[in-house]
Amino acid sequence: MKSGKFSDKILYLKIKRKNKDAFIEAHDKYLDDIYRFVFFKVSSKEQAEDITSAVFLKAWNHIQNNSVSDFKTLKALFYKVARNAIIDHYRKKSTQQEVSLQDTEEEEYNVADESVDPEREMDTKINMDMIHEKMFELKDEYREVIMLRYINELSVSEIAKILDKSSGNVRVMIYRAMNALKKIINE
Amino acid sequence: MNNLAKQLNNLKDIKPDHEWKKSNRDLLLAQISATQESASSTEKQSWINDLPTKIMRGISQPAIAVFFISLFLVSSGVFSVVASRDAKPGNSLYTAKIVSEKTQLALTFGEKKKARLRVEFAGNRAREIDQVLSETEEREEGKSERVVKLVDNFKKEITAARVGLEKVSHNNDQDSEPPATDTEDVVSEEEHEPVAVFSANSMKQEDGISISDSINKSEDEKQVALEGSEDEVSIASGSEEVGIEDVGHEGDSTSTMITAIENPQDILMQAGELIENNELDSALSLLEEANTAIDQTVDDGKVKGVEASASSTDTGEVLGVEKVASGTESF
Repeated sequence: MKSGKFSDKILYLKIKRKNKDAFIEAHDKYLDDIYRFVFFKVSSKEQAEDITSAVFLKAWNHIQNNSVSDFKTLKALFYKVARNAIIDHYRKKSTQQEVSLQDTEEEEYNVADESVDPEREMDTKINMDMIHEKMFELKDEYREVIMLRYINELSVSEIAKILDKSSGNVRVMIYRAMNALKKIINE
Repeated sequence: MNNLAKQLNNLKDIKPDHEWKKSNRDLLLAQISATQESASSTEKQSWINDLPTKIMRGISQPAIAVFFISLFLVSSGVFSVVASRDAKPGNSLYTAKIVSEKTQLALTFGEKKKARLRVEFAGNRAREIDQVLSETEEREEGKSERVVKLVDNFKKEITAARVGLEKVSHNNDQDSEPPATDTEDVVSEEEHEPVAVFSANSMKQEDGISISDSINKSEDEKQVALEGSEDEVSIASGSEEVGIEDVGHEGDSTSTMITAIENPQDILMQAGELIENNELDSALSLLEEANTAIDQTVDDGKVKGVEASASSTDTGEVLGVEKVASGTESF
């Protein structure tokens, strides 16, 4: 964790000095996580792609014009920018309804071709589809903390920084969110 | 709970397309490059546009502001001093003139230099008195008061200069006491000969006998002189008179020289008396003389001219004696 923070810091310093290669390195490192985070928020592949693309450009501009000290780490900065970008997205489409569950079913997930066993791959996909569906039945804030904690595997303190909440508050939220998800799945 | 967490973790496999990733990376790189170029060009333009602002900001920096303020004060001070040189009493710049004189005096070290400055300032006061007296009738009122004040100032300067010079001579006398004894011995030895010559001459004057002693003639010549007739003696005495007159003449010239290179304190005193009698030109010329005398004052406190006068006196006496001798010889 500490080495990760240290490499984050070095990356940040390089980016601050307008090192494009360093920023591309940071982009490659965090693109999947940010894309996933956005995808679970907007539940649309195209929108997730657009927003994710915008998130990195905004992050670049923010680093050049401000200090990253507010966000402690580069990772936290990307999540924060992503969160704000999603809020902006929903503001623009406030009249629009949430993407229907049917639409999400049409989304194609790019599941990494790691499993050799096709049966297992199928089971996993079924489970993923089911959980993904149920996830969207959750409250937005519950979905967010579950996604950050169990999918993107952020620590409680990292989530607390991104959400501007205390660690204890985040723990409670995670506990309630998981109970809510279980309840939905068992229904 | 753990099972659910594992199932949730499987959702980590949700990833964007590889192609989109690549295209997004290229797009981002292009956007970043464009942002950088525009930023650098904007920076250049803004630097040019902000140049006057930056200059003003730089000027307002405390260190630079202090420098400019001090420069202004110094330059204005120098300008006022230069402008006040010809200021007369009553002019607005006259105070600046006095202040600059006092500053000059305060910045001068050494009593001799200070005395010289004071003499110079006394000269300024004398010239100012002349200027005030030559003023038109429009400013008649208070003229006499100003003149009196200037005369007072003149006297003050003169007195201060004299005190300074006395200090110099006093200090130097104290400093040069041990070697002074040798000098005195030498001087007394030097003085011995002229005294002998004068005594010889006086004796010769009294009875016309010991001329030969003074001129070291042979006994035969002495005898001739002693056996001389009254006329001859009278001639001889006449020649002596001529000789003595000559000596006296040389002595006069020596005395005038001594007067010319008199002690600067005495010259200053005379100048003070002259200014009271409104003899400005004479006072000014005396001040010049005083300056010359101060210049000639060597560091050991003696006046160079005195030494010169001593040597010239010697020469005069010798010349007189020679003349007497020649007169006697002719006899």
